[in-house]
Formats: sequence, C-alpha cells, structure tokens
Amino acid sequence: MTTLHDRLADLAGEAPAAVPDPGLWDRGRRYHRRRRAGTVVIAAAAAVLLATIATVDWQRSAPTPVPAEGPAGLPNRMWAPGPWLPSTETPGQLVAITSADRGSWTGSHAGTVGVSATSGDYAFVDLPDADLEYADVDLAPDGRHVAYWLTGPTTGTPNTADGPIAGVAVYDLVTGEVTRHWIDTAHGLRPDFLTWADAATVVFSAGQIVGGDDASDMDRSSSRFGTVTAWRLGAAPVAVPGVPAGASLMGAAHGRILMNHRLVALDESERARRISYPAVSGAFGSMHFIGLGPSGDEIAAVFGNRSPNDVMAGPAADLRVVSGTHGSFGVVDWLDPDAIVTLQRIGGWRTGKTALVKHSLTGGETQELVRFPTDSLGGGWQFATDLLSSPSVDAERPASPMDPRLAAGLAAAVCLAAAAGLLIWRRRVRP
Amino acid sequence: MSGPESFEEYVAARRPALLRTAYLLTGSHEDAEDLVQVALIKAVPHWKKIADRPDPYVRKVLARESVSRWRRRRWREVHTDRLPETPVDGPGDDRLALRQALSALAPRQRAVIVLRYYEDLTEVETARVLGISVGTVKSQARDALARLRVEAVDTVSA
Repeated sequence: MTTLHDRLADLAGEAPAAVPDPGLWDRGRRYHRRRRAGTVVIAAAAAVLLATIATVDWQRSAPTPVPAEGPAGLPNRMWAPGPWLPSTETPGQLVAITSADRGSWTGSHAGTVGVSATSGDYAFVDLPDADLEYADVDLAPDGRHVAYWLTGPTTGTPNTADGPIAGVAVYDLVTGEVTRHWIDTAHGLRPDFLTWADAATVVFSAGQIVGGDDASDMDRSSSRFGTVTAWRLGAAPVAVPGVPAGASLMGAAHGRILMNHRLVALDESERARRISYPAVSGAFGSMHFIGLGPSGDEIAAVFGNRSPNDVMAGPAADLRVVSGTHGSFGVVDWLDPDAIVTLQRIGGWRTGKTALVKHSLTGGETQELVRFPTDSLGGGWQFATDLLSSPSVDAERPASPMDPRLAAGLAAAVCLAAAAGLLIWRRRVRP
Repeated sequence: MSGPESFEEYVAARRPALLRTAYLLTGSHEDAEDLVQVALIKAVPHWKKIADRPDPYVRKVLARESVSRWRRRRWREVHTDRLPETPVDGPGDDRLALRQALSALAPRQRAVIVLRYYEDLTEVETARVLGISVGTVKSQARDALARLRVEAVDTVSA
C-alpha cells in the first residue's frame, strides 16, 4: 500500500537538480551586514528622538524653590505660571502668590503658585487640607506664611457644594509647619474673608451654612453671620471686640482692620473709632476696598462708582486725588506715610498693560514696580506687602515644564515606531 | 569548524534534499531554488550557532518563508490569459493529482502536510518549525487531509 509519504517523495523527485553556488556564503554575509545596518539605523534614530525628548523635557524643567538665606528682591515683572511647575512644601519666603490651574495625569485642578523672594523661582505650594476650589489663600505681609481655609469633618450632614470648610490654617513657608484651627460646624462654613492684618495676625470670618446636602435649596444656600476673629500666631483665636457679626471687611494692614466704617487696632493700643469716607465701588481681585495708612489716620482707595479711576488718599476727612494714579484699579498698600502702591493701567487703555506703581504723595513722583503679563490685569496676584520696598530684580521668564503626558506619549510612540520599524525591516529585508 | 568551509560542505551535502522539500512547498522549480537559496543565505549570520545542527533552522526558514512569500505574492497576483508552463515529460495521473491537490491547499496547510508526512516531523516539531500551536497543526493537518481526499488523492494510509 502506498503511503502519503511515498507519494510526496515521488512528487519530490521532480525537484530541480542542485547546482553549485559558491557565492552563497558571501551573499549571506552581505545580507547580515545590510540587516544589521538597518537595525542600527532604526535604533539610532529612535535613540536620537528619545534623547531629544529627554533634552527638551530637561531644558523646560523648572528649579524648585527652597528656603534660602539672602536678600529678598521684588521681581520687575510677573509671568503667567505654567500648569506643570514643580511643587514644594517649603518654598521659603515668597514675594507673591497667585492661583493657577495645576496639571495632573487626569486633568487639572486649582493650585497656588508662589514666587520665591530670594531666587524668583515659581512653584506650586502644597498646602495640606486646603480648599482651593472654593476659598482663597492669603499671603502674609512678610511672605513667610500663608493662611487658608481647611476642609474637614462636620458634625452633621456636610454641604459638599462648598467643601465643606471646617477651619483655618496658617502654613509656615520656611519650615512647612502647619497650624490648624478647627471650627465646630454642622454642615460647613461659608467664608466671608480671610486676611492678614500684619505679619503675625490673621483675621477671618465665616458663617455657618444652614443646611447640608440633604436640606432644602434655601438652607443649603444660606449661611449665618460669621464672627470676626483675630488669630495672632502662637496664641488662640479671639473674637474682635466691638465688631458686629457679619461686618464687611474694607481694609486690613499695619495691625488694623477697617470693618464697614469702624477702624479697629487689633493690639487694642487705641480705641475703635468710626471714620467716614465716600462710597467705594468694589474691590478688584485680591486687593481690599481701602488701603490703610501706617499711622492709622490715612486711607487710600478708588472712591466713587467708576473703576479704574484716580486714587484719593489722606485723612478720611481730607481726601485728595493722588497725582499720576489715573487708571488705578485699587491700592495695594501704603509703603510709608508718603508712598502708596497702586495697581493701574500703563500707557492708556489700548495697551492692555497693567503694573504695580509706587506714588509719592507729596512729591508726585511715580515708579513702576512690577509689570504684569499682557493677558492679566494683575488682580489675581497677591504680594508680600513688606517686600514692595525691596530692591527691584530683573525677572527672567520662568521655565514652562513640558506636559509629562506629552513626553511619555512621544517616548512611547517613538519606541513603538522603532519596534514596528525593526520588525518590518528584519522581515522584509531581502537576501 | 564553523566557518565558510563547513557551510559549503553542508550546502553540498544537503542542497538536493532541501530542494525536494522546497519543491513540495512551492510546486515550482524556480521558487524551490529561490527558496533554498534564501534559506541558506539567511542561515549564514547564524552559522556559528547552528553549524553543529543546521537542519532545524534551515527547515524553519524554508517553511516560514514559503508561507510568508505566498502571502506577499497574493497581493501582487495578476490575471493572465497565458497558461503556466507544464512539464515536458508528463507525470503519471497520481503525481499530477497530488500536485494539483497540494496547490489547492492554503500555504500553511501545505507546509504542515510536507513537514508532517514528507519530513516525518512530529506535531510538536512541526508546530515549532512553523511558529504555531500544536492544536493549529492538528486542525490544519485534518483540514488539509480532508481536502486532499476531496481532490481524490489517496490518503488512507497517510
């Protein structure tokens, strides 16, 4: 019986006769060299591309600010922070902060960017338990602390639309130490304000929210008047005497706060007194409605219904227009009894440029201190007001680190393309 | 010895057998010669490692190249009015039937038949040579044999 093997062997007998081919070995060597050369070229191209991605990533990376001894400087301009700046818990003394979108692998969220007073570096500041979506962060006048609202537990059903906020924290930017003050709350707090009256005193007020998530719309959206509280570093927070609950903060500086028309010295060195001033249209950005002078007698603001406008300054009973302040959005601070700093337009409406400008009240001199990016009016920046008199520093544009998702994606794409290229080349290269 | 001399000796000794296998895999004199040439050239870069036992590697290249070559060629196929050349010395009916039946198989089925029933490899060895699973070898062999029977090729004693 014939097997399939036999029949195949019979058919194989038709195979062509073997002809000597002495060049096979050399052709094999040439094929090997060509195959290897293609492999090297593809691998080298992939390595060059990966190195380029790594180099761009490294060049665009930003140094992280660290606490450092050295003179503080005031940058002559601010820059829009990128979402991929490094983050730190101890940036050291800061000259300014602003809120900014912070990138993450899944999207972005609110963050606080600080600018080092000593190096000028930009970085996100990691604030434990901070509620950055619903409440602000406030920089102390000396740039060594920030105060912020805490999210935390409530005794009843929380109102998650606002956090829930359950306290205040003071963060030491040099040591990273955080001091928390928890406030008993059933559903959470709705902040009225949080500010520094001087480098060692935080003043805040927040009303208790009436209802949690399971309450009616009216209760969820309503809150009670808050108690105006002063918190001196190292001491317990105390209610500010003589200030009614729910009073509006008009100004805070040099150890005093102005609540509605009531000027209060927090060290109780002088009695609270009522002062009269014209109507103020509003507060721009992070600035107060009214700038308080260092002696306690002077105030400065953009009064009236129009803003930006001229700044008026002086004793409340004798306010005068400050020369050169046309186009001001507000007063950032009094540097001394003779000088104020305003946030104002530079070079007319069409330029769209704004800057912090120092004005002499007696001599009329002006000096541009800090220029803002053209896409920002500057209201989102807060400055350590004690450092506004520091020497001006030429501020270089901070690094704008590359989106790590882009870098990783590019690197993965290069690796995949190289692997596919190698596979195709090694399969397709003909002997 | 693992240099050109041993390679030349191997080629001289094994080329006829390789051509027979290649002919069964391709069904064409030119393709068989080309296939063997390619397999031998591709063996050169690895000769140091395989010099002691080159057959498994060369057979692997031979079988895989025949499958991939058929796939490449399928994309380049063009219709023609001329019939392909036929051998001058006409083979017997059985041989002709087997050749036609083999040419009707898918390239991998054909390779499985050649490796299993001409080279007498086991299912495991066939799977290793073609880079497929043993199960695939079994199913491909079963389908191929069924198809050969349809083409009136006696495989009862396979």
